[in-house]
Amino acid sequence: MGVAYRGNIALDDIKVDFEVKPIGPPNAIGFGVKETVTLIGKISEQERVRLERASNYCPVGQALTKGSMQVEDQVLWASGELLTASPTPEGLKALEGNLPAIPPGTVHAQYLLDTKELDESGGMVHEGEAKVTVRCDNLTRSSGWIVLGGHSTPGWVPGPFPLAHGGWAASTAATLSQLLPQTGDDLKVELAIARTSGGPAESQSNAAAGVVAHRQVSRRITVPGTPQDIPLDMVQAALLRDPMSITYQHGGILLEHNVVVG
Amino acid sequence: MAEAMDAGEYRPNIFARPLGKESVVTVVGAGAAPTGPWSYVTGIPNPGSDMVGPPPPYLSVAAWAA
Repeated sequence: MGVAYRGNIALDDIKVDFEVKPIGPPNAIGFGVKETVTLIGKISEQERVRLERASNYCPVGQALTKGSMQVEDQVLWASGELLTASPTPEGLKALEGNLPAIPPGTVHAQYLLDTKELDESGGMVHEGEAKVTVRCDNLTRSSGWIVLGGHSTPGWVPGPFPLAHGGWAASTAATLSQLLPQTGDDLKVELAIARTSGGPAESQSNAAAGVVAHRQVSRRITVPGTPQDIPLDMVQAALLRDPMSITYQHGGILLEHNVVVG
Repeated sequence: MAEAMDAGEYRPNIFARPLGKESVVTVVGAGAAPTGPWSYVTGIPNPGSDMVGPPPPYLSVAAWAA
């Protein structure tokens, strides 16, 4: 929406739909998505193409599809040792063990039009927030949850970029809790993300121009015991199985992408 | 070869901890900032119970959608 505003594109509304599909071995990323963006307004083909590029190059899209994140990993043991875990040794094999399949489902985002903020001269201050409905198969039923994200002055909800990282941190914790021995509740994942100087305006400028902006992030994984109990290469091998870590390092979850004018 | 690191400048702002084998609690925006923090419960598919929140990748896809 911010790119449309700054490009004087008459975009009245926007809806985004993702279909999430599990992807198992041998292409074992874990999941893939099909994206459909519906633009509502009087939009020319040239403008549609521009917004299509912007949706591919937003900061979250870059992280998930283009491997834009430069990740520095550390492992901290309860015994106090702290070691770098990047880069992963060449030829290291992914850790064996069962990981639950990611269930199929859908993600639907509705832009909350009245959360857009303009200044006195009509300039955009914040592009506003979106309500996202997540639905997926569950053990005994289909379940749904609401997630809010975006940019506004009150700051009731997180920006999309930190929210995406939250999913990555959660995925890392989930994967390691399944694969590493006896982690219990002593496992912790922390992310330290450096702020960018340009903020949302720079992100939107990059998105409009189709520029991949590489960003630094430090991930620290705290595990119980000592390096003898849980060796560094075991943690690194387990991370090779984590769906979101694979996505962040290599991109590739986008199976199909459509931008249509509704 | 891994090396010991100086932790002096390390400022994490997102935390995630598993709760058993079925869920993960995540805090986003935990550092010093004018807004936040925001907490999320994500679920891990398991044969014993329904997930109490969306699986973690769905949180990231939701962020992409937003």
